[in-house]
Amino acid sequence: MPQVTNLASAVESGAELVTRACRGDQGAFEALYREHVGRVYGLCLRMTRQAELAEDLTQDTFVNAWRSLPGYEGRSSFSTWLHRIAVNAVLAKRRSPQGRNEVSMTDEAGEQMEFEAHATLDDATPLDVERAIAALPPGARDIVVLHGIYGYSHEEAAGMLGVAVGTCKAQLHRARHLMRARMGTENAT
Amino acid sequence: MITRNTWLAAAVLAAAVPPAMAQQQVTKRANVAPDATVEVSNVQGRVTITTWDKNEVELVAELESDRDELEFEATQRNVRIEVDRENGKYGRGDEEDANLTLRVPARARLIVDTVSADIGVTGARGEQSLESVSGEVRTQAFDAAVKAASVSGEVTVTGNGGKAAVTTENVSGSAVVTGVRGSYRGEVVSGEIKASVAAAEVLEVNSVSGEIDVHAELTPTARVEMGTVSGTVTLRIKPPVNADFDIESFSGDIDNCFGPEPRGTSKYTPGSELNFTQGKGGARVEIETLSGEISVCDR
Amino acid sequence: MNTIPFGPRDPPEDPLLVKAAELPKDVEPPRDLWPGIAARLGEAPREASDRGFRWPMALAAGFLVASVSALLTWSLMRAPDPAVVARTPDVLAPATDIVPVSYGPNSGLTAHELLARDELVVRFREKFTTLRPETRDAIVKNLAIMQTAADEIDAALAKDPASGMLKGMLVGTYKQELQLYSTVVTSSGGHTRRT
Repeated sequence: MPQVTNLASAVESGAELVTRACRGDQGAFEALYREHVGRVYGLCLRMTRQAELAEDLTQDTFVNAWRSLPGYEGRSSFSTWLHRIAVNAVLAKRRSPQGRNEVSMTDEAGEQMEFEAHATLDDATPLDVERAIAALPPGARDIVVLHGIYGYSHEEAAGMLGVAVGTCKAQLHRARHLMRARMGTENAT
Repeated sequence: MITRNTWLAAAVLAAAVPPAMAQQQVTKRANVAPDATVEVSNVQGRVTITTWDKNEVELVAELESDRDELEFEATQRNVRIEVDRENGKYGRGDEEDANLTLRVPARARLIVDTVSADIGVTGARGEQSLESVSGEVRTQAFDAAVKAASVSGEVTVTGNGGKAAVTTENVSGSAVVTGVRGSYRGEVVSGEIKASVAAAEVLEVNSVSGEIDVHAELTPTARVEMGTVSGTVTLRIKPPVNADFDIESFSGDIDNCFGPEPRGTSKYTPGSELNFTQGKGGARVEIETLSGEISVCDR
Repeated sequence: MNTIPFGPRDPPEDPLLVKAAELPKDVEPPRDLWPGIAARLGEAPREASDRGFRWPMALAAGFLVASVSALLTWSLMRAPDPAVVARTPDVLAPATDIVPVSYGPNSGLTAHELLARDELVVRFREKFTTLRPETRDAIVKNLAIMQTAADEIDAALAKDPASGMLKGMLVGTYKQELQLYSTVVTSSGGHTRRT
């Protein structure tokens, strides 16, 4: 069962890195950064649709994580914990005066946004789906990113976003409708 | 504590009034125990409660809307009065009130809740729980627990010399508590709290952004806990002051008429704290703020 | 890169969600962000072990959750015909909706506590649509005030993660939010008569 072994050793080494980083080992924290930066940046990029902003928020996420690591109790996986910090950084940015003025944070206007900001995505990415997600209004986009792409349950996503579970489900329904309309795949269902 | 027998009595006494005609006035009476519980629910209009020396509850209901239904159920131990308005047809521009005027035994326990109806209680010496969403709440405190809450309405509690336990809860509305003895707990989001408490044993007063102004006389073992996120807290203590103070601010200002100067808490934050004993100590005063202002004075 | 599975807990049935789940989870940033992060690690204090504080806070929040559960049970028992409740939003579309307060990663509030709050919000929303417009406005504004407070506290916690005062304030704000919902949910329990 090589896959199980790899998984177990990965979990073990991840836990050890977290323990060492908790004690102030910056080398261990850098290793955690290398391991998780792709997912954190991907999440920030998909939620904000702006590469530079996503870079800033990714840095903020890891700095905040470093500060809060001694209080990390392992009640959720480290990656989930990190994602909570990232989502909070994105939401805080949106609520800031600067964030409110950004076109990507507007609601319906967001549907008109194009996908240039995602030039950093792999060329092999199924751009039609990625574009359709990027074109969603923020509330709908957030839940598709967290639930659809990153696999969080509605309860987990609702907790991260600070909204009701029912709101998450309604936003997902809305998102699916908008995406189908955009992609012209009404018959896909 | 309604027993099977009292439920039987309730069945006999129960009187569901049929849909009232517009401007109809209904009067109901029931004999009750001196400390019976009286529960009143109303949507819009007013609930006015006074006391008398009879072991009887009297209700005079003026219903301006013919879409209102009045329910009146009574046992010796419990009276339930409820105005039902046709689902969803209130609070949206129609101004037809249901005005309920009650006379109850002085020691009756009162539980009143309304949506926009005002609540006014005079002379009630039993426990009171009075809650409204947007109505005004006014009552007096004697020697029993009083809870008065309104989301956006004003709350006024006037003490009458007895040792009481008063609680107020507001969101945008304000609370004015005067002449209360004993304990006071107040919470507000953006509204204002003004309170004067004599012989205070417990004071717990908190706001999010609202202003708190408390004038208190502390007992030797008083426990005072006050806090605001971004509002202001003013505590004026009647001299002589014998208390241990523990005041902390993350980034706001601390101003005190006595004791030492506040000192910084961390080189990383602009916070300050103040710990000192005034007089003989004994009472404990803790006040906290994030970015608001704290002022403590003895005058 | 991490080999720990990160896929959806429940397989999505919608083909679009299936495609979304197949998208790469990792997106490499165009430049190495570590030097910028490393330069900032020494700037701010790290959170001290605050387990001594977490217990009372957890107990306080746990008590609130228990209260919310009791309140939900109460409101369900007193609720009118479910059909009436279900119909209400259609009859009275709210002019405004509320946004529950979002608490940051430093809050220490658990998913369980937030879930309890969200269940109360569902009951609250049923009543909210029936309130007077000015009352609804006041509620929306005050939830925004609580949000601002929660943001300020969270930002302060990022600077001083071990502060018991700040964590107490955050729990206090959470409690204020619950009280607002509960006052509305329990107001005039019998007012929604079947028609």
